[in-house]
Order: sequence, then structure tokens, then C-alpha cells
Amino acid sequence: MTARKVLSIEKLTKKFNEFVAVDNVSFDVYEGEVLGIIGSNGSGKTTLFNMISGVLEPTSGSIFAEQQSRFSLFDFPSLLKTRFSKRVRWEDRTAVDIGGQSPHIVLNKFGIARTFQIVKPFKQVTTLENVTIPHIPQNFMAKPSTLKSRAIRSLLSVDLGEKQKYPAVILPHGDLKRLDFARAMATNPRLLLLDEPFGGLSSQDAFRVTQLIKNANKEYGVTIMIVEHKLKLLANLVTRIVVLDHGQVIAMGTPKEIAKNKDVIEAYLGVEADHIA
Amino acid sequence: MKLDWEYYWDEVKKRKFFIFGFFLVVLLPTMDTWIFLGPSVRTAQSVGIMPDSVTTSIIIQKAAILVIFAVSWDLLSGYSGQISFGHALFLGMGGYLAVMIREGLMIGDQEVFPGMEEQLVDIGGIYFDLSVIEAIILASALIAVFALVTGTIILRLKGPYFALVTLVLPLIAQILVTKIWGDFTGGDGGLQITSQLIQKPPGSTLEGLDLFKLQIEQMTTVILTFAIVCVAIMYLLARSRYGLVLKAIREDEQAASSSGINVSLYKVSVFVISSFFASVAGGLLAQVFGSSTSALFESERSFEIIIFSILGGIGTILGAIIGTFVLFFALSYYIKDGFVDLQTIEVLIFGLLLIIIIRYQPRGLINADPQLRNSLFFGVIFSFLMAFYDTGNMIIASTWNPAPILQKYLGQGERGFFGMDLFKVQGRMVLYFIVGTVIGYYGPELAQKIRLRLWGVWPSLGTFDPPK
Repeated sequence: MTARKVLSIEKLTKKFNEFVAVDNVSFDVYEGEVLGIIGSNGSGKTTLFNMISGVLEPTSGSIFAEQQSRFSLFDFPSLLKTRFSKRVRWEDRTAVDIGGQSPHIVLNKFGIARTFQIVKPFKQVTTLENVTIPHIPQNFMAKPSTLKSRAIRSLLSVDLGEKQKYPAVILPHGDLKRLDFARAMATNPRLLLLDEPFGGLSSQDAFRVTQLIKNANKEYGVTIMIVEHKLKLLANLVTRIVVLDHGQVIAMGTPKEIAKNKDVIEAYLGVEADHIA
Repeated sequence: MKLDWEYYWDEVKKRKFFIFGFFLVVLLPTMDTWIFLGPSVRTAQSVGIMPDSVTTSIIIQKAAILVIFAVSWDLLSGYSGQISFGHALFLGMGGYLAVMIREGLMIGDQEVFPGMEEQLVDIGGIYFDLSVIEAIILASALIAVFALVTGTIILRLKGPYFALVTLVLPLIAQILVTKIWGDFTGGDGGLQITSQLIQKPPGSTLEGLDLFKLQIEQMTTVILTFAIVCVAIMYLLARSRYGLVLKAIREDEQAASSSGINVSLYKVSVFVISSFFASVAGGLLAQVFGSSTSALFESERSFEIIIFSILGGIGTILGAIIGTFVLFFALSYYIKDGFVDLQTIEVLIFGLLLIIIIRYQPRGLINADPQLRNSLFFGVIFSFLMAFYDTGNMIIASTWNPAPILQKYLGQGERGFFGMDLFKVQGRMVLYFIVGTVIGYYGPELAQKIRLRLWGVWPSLGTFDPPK
């Protein structure tokens, strides 16, 4: 049985004036996998994520994903945009080009959530309210008790239950990373984009986040894409790695294949190749 | 028995600002009923140095309208973070449009629309013209539609750019109504109101000043009802998940968008809601002034409520209410009408207060330390009670008037609400201190203890066992 596609990127390019950040990138993401994306600084990893999640509009190329839920009247401009965007058949399903859609549409209608490289908590509201907010769009008419219990469940899943009344601004960095993760998971995503989930974490915190990612993948069946520099941690998690260099894909394969690839060692890994192997 | 006077003196020093404010706001208006000070205070009122009941009513009217306006600003700028420096745009538009809809519009000899017909109704003993209220609400709905169109355009701007555009819009509107559309907006003189909201009751024998007093009090009732309904709606909105989403947009737009929130939809919707209530305030303000003039568009109107909200605590509806009431009362009673009759003094005082608050309590009075906050909360309640007392029967004139009831049980009419009285409770003597409400009691035999409590001001003055 062949794996089902979740996301398909075709000839994606992003130019900032003359500078080409992402250059003709194409790859597929399959259901249930954990895909790592590595590359040196400025190789276009975050730009790629920003394009998938709708923060940036691609210069050319397409990002195909399957629509999960129906549009409502309030999504009027986006509804019009999807009407004229490219479509492609994946066996029995239809995928729509999501390039240039706004982030909330990408999340609510296509089930693609993301976290940020630099954590973006809602600083002056409490931790509990922080995780309530992503629950709201999907449960806008729900009872207050339902909403609260869901929020508390997502908070408990990242071990922040006892800090539910703290404003997010006073939490330490490790907690904020997990709060970010809880917020992304609260939207009930199909595909989760993690932008440096281990950035600035101690080994203990990094271990907790690793467990959370594994849990999300195994228990909830969420497909995950990770951008990360800590290759040692990544090697335990991922099933496949895509290597970017100067905006282009230079290699793709399992961690072991990547570790032996000469182009990759030359461009990025250097001595660190031992960590993956 | 030995009293620790140093302890009490420390307690006084800790609360010196509040005690000063308390006496200023709460006690001064009732001093005309005091035994020793009464005559001189009454003289002062007749000369115009201190406010009397009609003045108090008008101040309450204006304060209540400003509360609607300030809360609507707080919902837009405090909650969703779209700082607007020109909220007076909607105030002015509300004022002009409500009067136009009620009175009809003539351009030259051409009649654009005839205006509404008078509908006199009697609710709770108040005879008023329902069509005026209908006109205000209709005008606000039209302005909300206008806000929907402008909001979709200008809310694409972020941060200071949005603020700059909002700063300019009322200035444009002011020039439009005074210079360019002068034919049907009345130019500098503004639009005069010919149909009063409050009408003389049929068969009433009241004349002159008595009728004027009655109408002023009834006007206050109507406006307070408006204020309570409008503020309640906005408060519930802000407390709901809608308000939480607005807070998320204020904190981080990108993160809110990545949490699945349609940022532009929420921003436009809050702009529309805020403009609706600001226009209601404008329509009411035109009724109080008796005309809508271009003064409604002035930047001073916008900055006034911004300062009120910041002093009270930005991003909390309660802060805007308390800030407006406390400041407007204090200013109107004692600074503008009381000591100096200058327009500029208001701005000067506002500016100084703003500097002091931002330096010492940047998150506003509502977020200040609990004791100060409680003090202010009770201070506002006290001052409101005073206002009741001062104007006699204001809200529910015939059915429930707290003043005579409290006077009957707690004190003599001559001495007003302030007094110390001896009571017999179950055959024992109890000493009460009364300022508007019971603020302390002393019952040596009843409790074997002294308890002096000034609610909000003093948690407890301590207890001691009286000598036997």
C-alpha cells in the first residue's frame, strides 16, 4: 500500500526583489510521517514554512493540499481565491493550490498548523486563555464549559496545568515553547509545521518536546514537518530528511542516506555527519 | 487600654491621597446640609462657587454619555489594539445625523426627507419623544454601515499609520460640516434641535424653574438608562470569547492569524460595534447641548476619553467607566465650575494627571494595588450615592428613593447623610457613623469591641476591648 499524500509542493519559488530565497523546490509529504528539513542559515527553510502556512505569497509554483472543511460566508475573499486556484487529482481526492491564502484559511480549511521559530505567546493573557484562543474558531458556538474543558485538556497535555492562571509573559522559555506546541495542537491539525521546536531549550526540555512530538505523531496521527538545527535530536524523530541549500533541494532520504551523501556533507553537515549515522 | 497612635498615623499616611480625594468627591456636595458649614455652603452654591442639584444632574448626564463614548473607545483600542486618535469622528457624525433624521433635511428649497413625526410616550412618569430615540439609533446604524466601509479600507493600515489616519478624519469632517456642507449642516452655528427629547407632561402645573428641574432630572434618567444598556452590552462582549479573540489580535496579529482567527473580520467588526456606540453617545450629547455643532468633532473630545481610559486602566471596560466618572466628577465639581472658570484648565489638569499616572500607575487605577483600587471603587459608589442624595429623586422617582428611607432610619434630614447617631438595638446602645451609607459602628455592649470600618478606605481600624 502506497502512502497517501498530505502536501505536495511543486516548483515553488520565492524571490525577495532579486534575492531568490526558495528556488524551484518540489517534494511531497505523506500521511503519518515526520519530515525533517535541514539546511544552513538562510537556505530558505523558514521562508518555505511561511509560504505553506500563508504568511508569505509564493512568487511562482504551487502548494497542493486537500480541503478539510467547507467555507462559510465570512471567508468570502478566500472563497473567491480558491475558486480560481489550480487543482490536481490525488487518486480519488482533489487537492487545491493554497499558495497565497491567508493563514487562518490554511489552518481552518486545510488543517495545516504551525509554530514559530521565535515564540509568539499572547503575552498579557493567562496561559489558559492562550490555549483557549485557538480552540475558539472551531468551537465558536460551543458552551463555555466545553471550551474551557478542551482548553484545560490541551494545557494538561503539555504539563502546564498548574500554571494556568499565570500571564504568559512571566513563563520561562521552555514553557513557552511547549505552550506554542499546545496552541498549534489545539487547532486539531492534519499537518503540523514545527519551526525549530528545540531552539534555545535545555536537554531536559528538549526531551519533553521530543516526547510531545512523538505522541502527536503516534497517538493523534498528525503528519509533522520539522525545521531544526539540532541534528542529534532530529535523527531520533524523523523518517525522512529534506536538505536545502541556497533555496534548492540538494538531497532527500532517510537520515542514514543523508549522512552518507557527499553533497550534504560538503554543503552543510561537515563534522556533524557522525551524529546522524 | 492604650491606643497605638503611631500605627493609625501610618495608616492615614498610607492613604492620604485617597482620604483627600474622598472628602473632595464625597463630602463637599452634601455640606449644605451640615449644621455648622451648611449656611456658608448654601451661600457658595447660590453664588455659583459650588454645584447645586441641577448642575449635578447635568454633570451626571455628561459623564454618563462620556462613559458610553470612553467604553466604545476602549473596546476598539484597548481590546483589539487598534489605537484610534479620532474617535470623535463618530461622536460628531452621530450628533449631526441623529438631528438631521429627526428634523428632516432641506438643501436649498429641495426637501431631501421630511423628518420623523412626534411620538409622545409615557414610561414611568417620564413624557418623552420616542422619535428622537429612534432617530439616534437609526443614525447610529447608518454610521455603523459607514464604519464597515471605511473600516475595511483603513484597518489594512497597521500601528501608527492607522492612528494617523484616524487623527485626520475628524479634522476633515469638521471642515466639511463648517465650510463645505454649510448649507444643510448649519455652518459654524450647527444644527439646532427644535424638538426636545423630554416633553412637558400634559396637565402639569409646573412652571419655570420647577419644570426645568423636573425635565433635567428626567433627561438624566433617560441618559443613564442608555448608558447602562450600552455599557452592559459592550462589557458582556468584552468578557465573552469575542473579547478574548480581540485581546489575541492586540497581543500578536500573526500568532492570532496562525491560531485560525480571521483577523481582518474581527478588526472590522469591532470597528463597526465601537462606531455604533460612539454615535449613540454623539446623538445623546447633541440632545444635552441642544444642538450639534462642529465642536463634537474636536480632537479634545477624542483625547479626553483616551486620557479617561488610560487613567482608569486601558483594556478593561471597568477602567474606562471608573476613570470617566471619577475624573469627570472631580473636574466638573471642583476645578472647572468650582475654582477656575477656564476652558484651558481642563486640558492642563488632564495632562498633569496623565503624566503622574503613567509614571506611577502605568496600568491604570483599576490595575493599581488592591487597596488603592478598592478605595476608588468605594469612592465612586459613595460619590454616586451623594449624587442621588443631591438631586433628590432621580432614577425611579416615585417608587424607590433611597434618600428618605436612609434618612428615616439612619439620620435626621437636617444633618443629611453625615452624622453620628445613637441607636438602641435590642436594648443596647450602638453608635453609628453615617456618610451616605453606614461606614462604621461602635457597639461597646453589643460586641464588646470597637469596630471602625471605612469600607474600602480602611480594612479595619482594629479592635480593642473597652474598659469594664
